[in-house]
Amino acid sequence: MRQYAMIIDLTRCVGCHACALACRAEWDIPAQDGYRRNWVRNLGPAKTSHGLSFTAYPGLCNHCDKPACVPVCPADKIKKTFTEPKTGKTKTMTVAATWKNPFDGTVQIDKTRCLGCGACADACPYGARYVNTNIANKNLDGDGIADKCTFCKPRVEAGLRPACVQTCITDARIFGWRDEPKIADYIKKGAIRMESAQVQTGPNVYYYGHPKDLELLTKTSTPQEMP
Amino acid sequence: MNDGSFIYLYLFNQILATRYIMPNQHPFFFLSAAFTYPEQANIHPFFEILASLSADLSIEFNHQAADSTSLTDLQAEYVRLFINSPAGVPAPPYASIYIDNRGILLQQGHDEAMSFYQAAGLETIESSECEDHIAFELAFIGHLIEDNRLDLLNKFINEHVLKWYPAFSQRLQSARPCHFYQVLGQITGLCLQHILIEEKADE
Amino acid sequence: MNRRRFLKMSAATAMAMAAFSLDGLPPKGGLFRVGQALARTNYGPANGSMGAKEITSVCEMCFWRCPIVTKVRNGKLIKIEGNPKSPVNGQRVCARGNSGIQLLYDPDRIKYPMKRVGARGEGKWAKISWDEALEEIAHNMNKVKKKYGPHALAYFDHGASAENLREVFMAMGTENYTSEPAFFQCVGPAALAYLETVGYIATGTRQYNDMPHAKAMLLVGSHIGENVHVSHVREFIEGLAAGSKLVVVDPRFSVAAGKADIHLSIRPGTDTALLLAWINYVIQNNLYHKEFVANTCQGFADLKKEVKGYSLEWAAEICDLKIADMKAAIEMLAKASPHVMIHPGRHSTWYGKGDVGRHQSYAILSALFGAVGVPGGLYFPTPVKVGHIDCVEEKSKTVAPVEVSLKEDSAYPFSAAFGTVTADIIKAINTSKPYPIRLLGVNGVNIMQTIPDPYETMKAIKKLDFIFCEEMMAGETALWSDIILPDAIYLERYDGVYAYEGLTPYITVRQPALPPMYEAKPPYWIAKNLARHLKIDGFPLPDAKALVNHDLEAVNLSINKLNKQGGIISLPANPYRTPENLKIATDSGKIKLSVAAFEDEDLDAIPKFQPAPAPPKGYARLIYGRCPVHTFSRTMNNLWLNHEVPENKLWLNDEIARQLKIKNDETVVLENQSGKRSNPIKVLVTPGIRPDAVYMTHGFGSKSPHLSRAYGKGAADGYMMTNTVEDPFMGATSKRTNFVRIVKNKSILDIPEIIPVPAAIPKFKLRKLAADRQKAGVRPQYASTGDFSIQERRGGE
Repeated sequence: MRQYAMIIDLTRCVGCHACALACRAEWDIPAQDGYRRNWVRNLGPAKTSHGLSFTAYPGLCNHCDKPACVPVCPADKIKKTFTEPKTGKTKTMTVAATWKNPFDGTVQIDKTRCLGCGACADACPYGARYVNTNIANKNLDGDGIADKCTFCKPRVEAGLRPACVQTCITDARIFGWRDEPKIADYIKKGAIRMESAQVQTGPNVYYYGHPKDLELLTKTSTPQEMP
Repeated sequence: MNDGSFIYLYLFNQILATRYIMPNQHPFFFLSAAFTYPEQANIHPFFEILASLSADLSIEFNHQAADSTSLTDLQAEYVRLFINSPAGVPAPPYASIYIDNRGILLQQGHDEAMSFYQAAGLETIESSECEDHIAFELAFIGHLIEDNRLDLLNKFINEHVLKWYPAFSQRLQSARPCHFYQVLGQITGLCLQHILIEEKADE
Repeated sequence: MNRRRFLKMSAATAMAMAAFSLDGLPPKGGLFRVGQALARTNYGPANGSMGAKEITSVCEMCFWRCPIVTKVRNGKLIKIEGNPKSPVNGQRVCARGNSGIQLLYDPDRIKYPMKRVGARGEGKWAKISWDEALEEIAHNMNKVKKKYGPHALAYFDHGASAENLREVFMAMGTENYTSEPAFFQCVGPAALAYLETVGYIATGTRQYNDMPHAKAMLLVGSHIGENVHVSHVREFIEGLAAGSKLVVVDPRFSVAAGKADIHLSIRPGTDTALLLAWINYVIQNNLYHKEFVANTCQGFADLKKEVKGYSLEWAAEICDLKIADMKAAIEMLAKASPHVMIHPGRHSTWYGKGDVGRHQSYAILSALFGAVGVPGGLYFPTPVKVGHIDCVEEKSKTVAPVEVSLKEDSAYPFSAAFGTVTADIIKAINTSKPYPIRLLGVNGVNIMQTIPDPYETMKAIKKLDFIFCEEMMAGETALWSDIILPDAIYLERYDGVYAYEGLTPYITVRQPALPPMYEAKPPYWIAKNLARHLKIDGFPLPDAKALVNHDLEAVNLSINKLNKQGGIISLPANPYRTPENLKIATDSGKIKLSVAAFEDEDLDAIPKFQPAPAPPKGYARLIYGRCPVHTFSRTMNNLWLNHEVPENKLWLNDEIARQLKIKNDETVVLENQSGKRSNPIKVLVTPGIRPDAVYMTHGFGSKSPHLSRAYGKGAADGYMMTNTVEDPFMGATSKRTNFVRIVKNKSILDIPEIIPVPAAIPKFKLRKLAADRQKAGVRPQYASTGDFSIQERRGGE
């Protein structure tokens, strides 16, 4: 299976929040507390073992190898057939209202079947999901609808870049297949996953940066335990 | 809630049948007019109808306030409450602000209003105002009543107006409006409530 | 069973309504007419902004004006992206650019012309027609002109949209037709220093700094990255990615410092000492570009003599820096010569005295390294010619004669070329000297937050006969205005032609994504119609669109032609010069290391170090900067941007915080040296700020309760700025000459002096008043707009 991934290059990032706002605009996400698919937390200036660091944690759904959010979905299971856009190859899986796509590795939500129970949001160690309670599937007695980053799936399928990548003013965000050189090279030269001893979900957003900035990022923002 | 019988309208039509009232004299066109910027030199008719509706609905009405309010007072208060205020416009009178907590103009709430107008085969006149302004929506209700479009009326009120009017009304009342707009807000709220009768109501 | 009460209408009501319908109102409210019945459609963002109609335009969330694409669906703006054909930003826009949609649809935008119906500053308004509003303004302009003379009219402006109205003021004969706080409070001293030294304004609204090709860069206090102008930040990052070294001099650990090879945490107010010591070091150690200096510069011998006394040892004590670090930094820069970017900074009004000298020092360093007209240095703009038409003919814009001119006879020898000094206008209003100023037009400027000492400004406004403003969002200026005119948002109008003369020159135009909402009008329409009411001839073109087409015609373009090419055309650049082709535009044709014109006015030809007074005992210096999510004070009310960064924080040194027992995120109040107190502000405890300074981002803590989301969130640095020092060259007002201490739980906490101040730097003397008050424990004055009580109006929410 090929896997989409994203590099966030903190040597280029200036923590300007353009990514977060482009995402809000593209997907029409209301500005309510906790309602966001994409966020920036400015970190520091703080001491690290490599000197002072003043950096940022630009976060989004990690589209994990082993997503914690998928197995907890209590929605009725259905059979769903996935198609690889290029080859037309299909694969049928039994899924609840959220799944990991077998052809591009992205984690997606079926909004028409989401109950809004929030189990997936609670399960995510990165807090990448939220439940929009302004809307709900009333026919299912839903309380709201879960939402999160889709890696801009509709845009990517139309040949565009994710909105956050397109708007990034310093080209600090790089999106593509995990095995493509533009991504793989970064991983080779030391881009990290925000994982810890307890949290090993295989996130596919990688952070590259000066050791002091990665230290501050890890220290402040890497989840230390599963929720 | 589906196509319920409609007691208010039923009675209303009964009254119509006996020709006591002209067809355009249910309160919604009045409420609509009262929610537009006051420009008539003579504002007394507004107060009179408001007073009368208050009596009908058992709302307290302060006749002194009516007498001591000038047109300029009413205009300044309208601007403060609904257009621009140094304290931030406390109660923008648009569906878009409240529906889905958008907080800005011309979003989901406006789309909803427009699609209802389209479904009724009506369009708004040329105006500098947004079409989801409370005055438009109340006038639209008036038209639906007159045209006897009960199904659409029910939907419009339940699936749109009541999604935002309570939040708007709350912001209006907490801005300590002058008596006119305080009572207007209450009356409109009651009218919107009472126009709807649940299905089992006439069992 | 849920049975609801139903409405019964009494006969009395029926009668009243019957009468009402005869009262001249259209039947049934008259708000609807029969249209085409359509099935209900479901609008939804399932596909994001894809497939929306695209119209190219130009951003105005800040003055950098990136080329953009507006995306419109069902008559609504749904997204803004960068123009893919733009050579500067491509499809990128910053946080603010992305949020322009929120400005357009903000319920707090000014919707109609309004007049004040309460007391000035009370904020009680009634809606009026455009004709009434313009007639009222015209009447007052004529009345004030007749009574006090034309110079009693003054105009505060900002940005391209202010130009049309400026011509109306010019036609009235006033000399006070331009006073741009953005100039006098920001780039003025830098612009003058570069103009006199290298013969062009290498830094002004635009900045001609070749960062992408630099091999080393120096930033002094400049915080690119937090200060976001997209192409500028891109060029900075490109330079670093290509391997440029970076030296950052800043008392604060900025984002740029985080990317630097060397960060010098300098004592505030001593930058020129460091620069002069570096200049001396470069000369003494033969690190300068001898050929360039010999062929292109004049005044080298004088410079060498003048800076001889400034040693690194001396500077180390003054600047509180280590000699080794200073040396390493200048060697690093020298090694890259001539491809070295001595960045001119941007906001330059720091200490009043010495601001021009500091910028002269940057320019001198660039010249010594031969970094002018070469890759990686200061480069030359590529002139882009477009047409121009006067709205009012030149001959009708004669400045009326005046005995003592506020502009020409200013105490500042170099101010007149740039306009009337902002602070002089405020002073003239308050004192009627040299003549009374009684009417103010304000266009797109928050004069409370951009002019230092808002208390003087408020006093001045109360004295005016008349004040009007043209605004998009009601800032503090609108609160005080007699007439408020609703300006079309930048997304709703045509403006001039935008020609970029930088590394990637282009021509583009602003065009409306949508027509103006409510009764907002574009600036050209407003100026044209005000001119009509004033019976001023001019404005020959029907509208701004015609104006844009006229200006494009000169280069054989039109809006249509431009749109066929993606709304923008790129032009070849000519930024560099060979030694033979290098022409310096000063009168002598040389770069002036020593500026005789300054000497002629009894100012220093070569900069001298003049120490800015150090904080008095118990206080720290207040410094400020930009937040990438906000443009000064203009964007704080933007729903998205406010949600993203709702408030600023006070950066407090971790050691000071430990001694004062202040914890991270605790809320404090600041009190400045004259006893003015700030709004409450949360503390960021950090090692990233020196112990003798505190820092906050500028523009928060709006005192305009109108800006409902921004009101009272965070603290405003502007309201702490009551001590200003004017720059002797052009009268620009200092903004880093204020000192604060902390008030926590109503008790005043003195900030301990951890780093001793050398004897060569005097301490700021507390004015007697403040000192006495301190002794007597008199109740402090709270910063306030004076007349307006928020509690009353908001109904105690």
